[in-house]
Amino acid sequence: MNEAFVLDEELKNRLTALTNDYSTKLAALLPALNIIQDKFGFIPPEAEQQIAELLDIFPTQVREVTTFYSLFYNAPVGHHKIYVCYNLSCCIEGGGKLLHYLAKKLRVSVNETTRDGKFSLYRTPCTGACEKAPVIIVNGAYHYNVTPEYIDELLTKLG
Amino acid sequence: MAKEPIRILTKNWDIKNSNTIEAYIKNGGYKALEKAIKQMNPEQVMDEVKKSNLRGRGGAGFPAGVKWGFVPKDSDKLKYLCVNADEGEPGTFKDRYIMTLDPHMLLEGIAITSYAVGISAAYIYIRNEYIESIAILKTAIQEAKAKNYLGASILGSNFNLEIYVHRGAGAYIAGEETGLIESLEGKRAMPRIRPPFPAAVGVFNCPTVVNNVETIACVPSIIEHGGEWFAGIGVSKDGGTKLYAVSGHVNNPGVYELPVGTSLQKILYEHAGGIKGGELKAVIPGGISASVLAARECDIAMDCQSVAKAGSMLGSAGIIVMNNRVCMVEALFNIAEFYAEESCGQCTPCRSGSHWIKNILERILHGKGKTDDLEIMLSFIPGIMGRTICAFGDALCGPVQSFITKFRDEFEYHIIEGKCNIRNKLDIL
Amino acid sequence: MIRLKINDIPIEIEEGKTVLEAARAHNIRIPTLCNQADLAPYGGCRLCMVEIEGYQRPVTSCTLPCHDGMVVKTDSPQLKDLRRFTLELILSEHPYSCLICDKKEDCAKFMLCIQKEPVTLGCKYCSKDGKCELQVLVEELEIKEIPYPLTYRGLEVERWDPFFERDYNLCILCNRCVRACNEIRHAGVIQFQYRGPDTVVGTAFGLTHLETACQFCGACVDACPTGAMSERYGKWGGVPDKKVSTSCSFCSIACEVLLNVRDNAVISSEPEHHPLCVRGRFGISQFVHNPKRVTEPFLKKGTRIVEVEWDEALQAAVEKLREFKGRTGIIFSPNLTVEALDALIELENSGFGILGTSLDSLSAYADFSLEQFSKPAPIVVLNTDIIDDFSVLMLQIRKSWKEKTPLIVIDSAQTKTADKADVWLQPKLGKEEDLLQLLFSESDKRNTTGVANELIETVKAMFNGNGAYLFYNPSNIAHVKLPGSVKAIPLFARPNLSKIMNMQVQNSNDILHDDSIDCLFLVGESPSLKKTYKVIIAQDHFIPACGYDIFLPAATFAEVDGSFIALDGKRRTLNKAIEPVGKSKPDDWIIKEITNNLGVEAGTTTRAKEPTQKATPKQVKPTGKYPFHLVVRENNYRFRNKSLSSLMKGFKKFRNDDCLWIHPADAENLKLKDGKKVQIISKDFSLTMTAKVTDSVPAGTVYAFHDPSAGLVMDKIVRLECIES
Repeated sequence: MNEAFVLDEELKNRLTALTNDYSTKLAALLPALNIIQDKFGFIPPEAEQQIAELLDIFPTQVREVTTFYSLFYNAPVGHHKIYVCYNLSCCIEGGGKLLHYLAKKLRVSVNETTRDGKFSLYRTPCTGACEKAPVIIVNGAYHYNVTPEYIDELLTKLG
Repeated sequence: MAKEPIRILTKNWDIKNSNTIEAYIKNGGYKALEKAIKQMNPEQVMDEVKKSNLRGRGGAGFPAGVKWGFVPKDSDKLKYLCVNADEGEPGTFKDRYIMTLDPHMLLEGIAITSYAVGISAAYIYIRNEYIESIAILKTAIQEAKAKNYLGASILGSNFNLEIYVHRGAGAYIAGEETGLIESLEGKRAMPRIRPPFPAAVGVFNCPTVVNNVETIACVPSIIEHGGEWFAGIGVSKDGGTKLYAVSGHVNNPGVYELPVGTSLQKILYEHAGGIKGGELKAVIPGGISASVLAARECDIAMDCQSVAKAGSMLGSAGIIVMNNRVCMVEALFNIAEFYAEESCGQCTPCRSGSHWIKNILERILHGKGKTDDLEIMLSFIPGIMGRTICAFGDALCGPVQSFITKFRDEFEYHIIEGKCNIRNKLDIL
Repeated sequence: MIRLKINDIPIEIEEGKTVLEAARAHNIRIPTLCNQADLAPYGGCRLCMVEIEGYQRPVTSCTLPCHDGMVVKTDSPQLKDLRRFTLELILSEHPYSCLICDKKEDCAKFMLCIQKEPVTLGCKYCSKDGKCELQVLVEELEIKEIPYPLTYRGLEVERWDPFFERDYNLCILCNRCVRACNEIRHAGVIQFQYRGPDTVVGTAFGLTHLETACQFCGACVDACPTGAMSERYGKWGGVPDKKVSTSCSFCSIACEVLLNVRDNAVISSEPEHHPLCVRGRFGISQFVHNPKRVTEPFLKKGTRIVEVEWDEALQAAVEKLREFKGRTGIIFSPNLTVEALDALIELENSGFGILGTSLDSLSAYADFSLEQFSKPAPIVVLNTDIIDDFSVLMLQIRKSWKEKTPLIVIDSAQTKTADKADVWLQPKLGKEEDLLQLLFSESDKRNTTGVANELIETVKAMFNGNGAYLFYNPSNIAHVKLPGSVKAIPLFARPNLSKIMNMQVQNSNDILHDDSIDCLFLVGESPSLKKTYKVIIAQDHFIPACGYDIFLPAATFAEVDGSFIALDGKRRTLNKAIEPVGKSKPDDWIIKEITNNLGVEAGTTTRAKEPTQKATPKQVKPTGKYPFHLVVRENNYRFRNKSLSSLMKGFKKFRNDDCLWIHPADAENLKLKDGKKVQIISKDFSLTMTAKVTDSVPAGTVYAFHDPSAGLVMDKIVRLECIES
């Protein structure tokens, strides 16, 4: 097991404490995975194994869930996660173009990470902020009415 | 002379620090909960809600009071409330406003609902991206608990309630009520077979009420002012105000609270500031799963029945406006791609159908369409619509059928000429 | 009772059944792919749609409970169209060109394909051809063309596991395998992954099935309607001519099994009413038609071994038995039929030899029945790998229980069962009985078991005064004193115990140590010999490791009529599925022929000795000369004189019996690498085995499986020596 992904006692206690909110241990799976992903940026298989043990479920029960939900990642991702909203409202306001612009600028395709591991580019189906289209989410923070110029600035800021 | 606009859900939004409990209480918050607990018994609360003609605001538009009534009263199992804050329907963004600007109205609604149905644990299933709303809600719950509006022995009564915030992980189908329940239980969000309905067997095999954020947020006002007052605001069998979320090609996109049944024209031109960047071409009235309305069909009232009569649905009332520079083939492809990505994969027609519709549209877009492609896509409709476990299949069919039939010439041009016929076309993909 | 009408036929059915179940019960066909009678409804394939009077839309009959007065129509032009549409969509995810080919009849007859379908896409190259549910449906719904091009997923065919392989390019996502794995077996090995059109069936983290907790029970293979999951051995066996119901003889549970027979060969086996384990599901056909099997009589003439006719072989055996009258030891395997055992008694009564078998601790034998387990209670498992060895028993016991009770394992080694247990107690070797005392009675004895007191208290709290079921390995523990609330069930790996107990036989070890014995007659057994014998007569399916002078080929349990007694004390019937292979003959026939030819009238009993009660072997402490404790574990993957892993590749991969489990620290001291040969030396024997370095055994202790032919019969102290390779 990769030492880096061994969950420490404190984290384990936090994950176990989640089960108090639900009447089955399994129900704490999504919150637990969210915590893990917030910590590591993705969900390493080692962590999946340990969560399975903590919640007393089969490893497959973890894996079927991590692969089902589009915002869980099983492989390392870039330091900055950029989501471009690709719903119809954003697209008719230029969301699609933004995506191409970013892809070109970062020299990656959608769902890929730049070679230096800095950026991962994703497109996401509706972020629920259609009134300020086009929207991108960078590391969890919403950016509204985004233009290519704004992206240039943002990327420089993020380095 | 315009009447003073009725504000129920948005009444606190302009106040400074509207998401704090102090601001909420100062503006009369938690009075309704107090009234319910101290002056009414659960049946009376439920009756008021039934009287209000409050319909589910999530998309299906099922009368909320009736839904609560389905929960068996004699069951010795725990009962649960799941608040659907997944808001995954593209074009919808109203719940985010409620949760960030007035979380206590939602919490008060949850408390009253739970009191009426006999619930002691409620989950707010919120989509992964709403980190801000999650933090605000969690703070609000702590605040309300400190003031004994939540927790044990609420306001000195024997009514207890815990509210938990449950963060999703990116699945449109988790917004479907049984998909939400599965997801809450820590599984793949694959919708369940009904019967049994959640009211009988829901989360953790217990009776469960699933309601949208907006629906629940209406409840405090109903209790405060009475069901009849609420019913009087809307149209017959569809009471109250509605948050219309307008996006796309309008000058002032945003959320507008208007009485149910306000005309679409009024929403677009009076409130949203009219069409931007060209002429009106089409409107999707209730999130992308609603059938598209061509410009000439836009003279309708925005309530469940009127929109249904026009061949579409009110859905979540997420109104997407498109001007005449939008290519309908591209727009439908965007929608089809969404459905192909979000189908859970359980039912054949939906899984395979969404995949084929996307593929066929893709080849039309690339100028490789075949003459019978439109017929093939339309032939999917009777095989998918109403033939799947959940309403996802219907949601997929609505746009496909309406886009193709209403804008057939555009699709045919693409197939025959291999290119688009729109001048100054907006590149949307 | 609910009354409804299906296709104008009045039907009565108990409440809670679905429309599909009602239709099935009355032989009304409704097409379906995702429904399987013993699995929860899934509602995914959407083929079983029916029309109900008063309903606006057709509904899936597999999910719809019957109501009184319901009027159901299972067939109409609209329904047929709908089903056709759905099946076309299903087929667009599965190679379909052969399914809808108008030349498919000719193809089957003449192997003619003008379209030159690639091997990956053609039905004729699929092992499910003729058994595929899609083929049936295509015929039934008369599908002639499909308007969509095929989406071939291009997934790698998973051929790396024993017993079965998987080609998920043929998968139609009916979810049956997943439900079988999770609902029937509670194994949780496979699940859907990803979603929508990308959904695939798979294990966690892309592990091979061997790396998961897969028991290779084959429930998934049996559930698959297409060729996506197929048995490795026998997949090309074709469509069976007949199915014969008999009892699996590989272990003492004796499950009902259906043998698929074609051209007098067992091509595969499948579960009949209850699930099977890997032995019954995948072992039988390979065992019966094993290339190592010997089906002709052989005779040693001088230094040569010659194939002979039965007459000559029997004559030779009879002559030898006459010659060594009173000096013959007859060692038999408990894996025989009752009829063969009766014949053996007859033979012994003739006074030519004494009977012996390798069973110990028969005194612990007790009948039990499944009804005994009606009340849920915690399960304690002592020194037996119940999940590997008795998986079906465990399933059957737990099946009727609504609640899941704790599983507590007491074992010095970390077995598969210990992995799955809620609590695993690891006592020091030889302290198992002490630990039981501490767990079950108010003992003020000092805890020297090596198990923490807190852990013992945790387990005690689990019993909560409700008692427990204790399953234990009788060959390790002789006497366990327990309170009445604890039901103790010894798990014997071998059948026929109550029968053999009444036979009053010797322990085979006593016979082998008896210097007056000069001739051995081995019936299904192959002991490790302590001396050279003048004659060895072997009667078996396979050549015994100890060699022979006369070999009498016996027919396997698939080739005989008869019976044997299962662990629960009840008799199980064997039904002959095929004629004996080659010249082999049933055991009882051979023994009777010999007895008859010996020509001694029955009744002249000269029973040699009364059987001796064996005392529990004293725990011997490792010494400087023999520093390791060798623990011999019961082996439930042995049948008669062979371990299954020595006969079948799959078993060798899944559970290799020929290995010595050793702790990494010990291995390092000895400079022993995993997979290398190691010599085991004790005071009275020496043996070479393959080392399996694993931290699931404690240091200072090595574990091996019971193997009489190698002399691995009981615990010993040993010395280990590396063999340079």
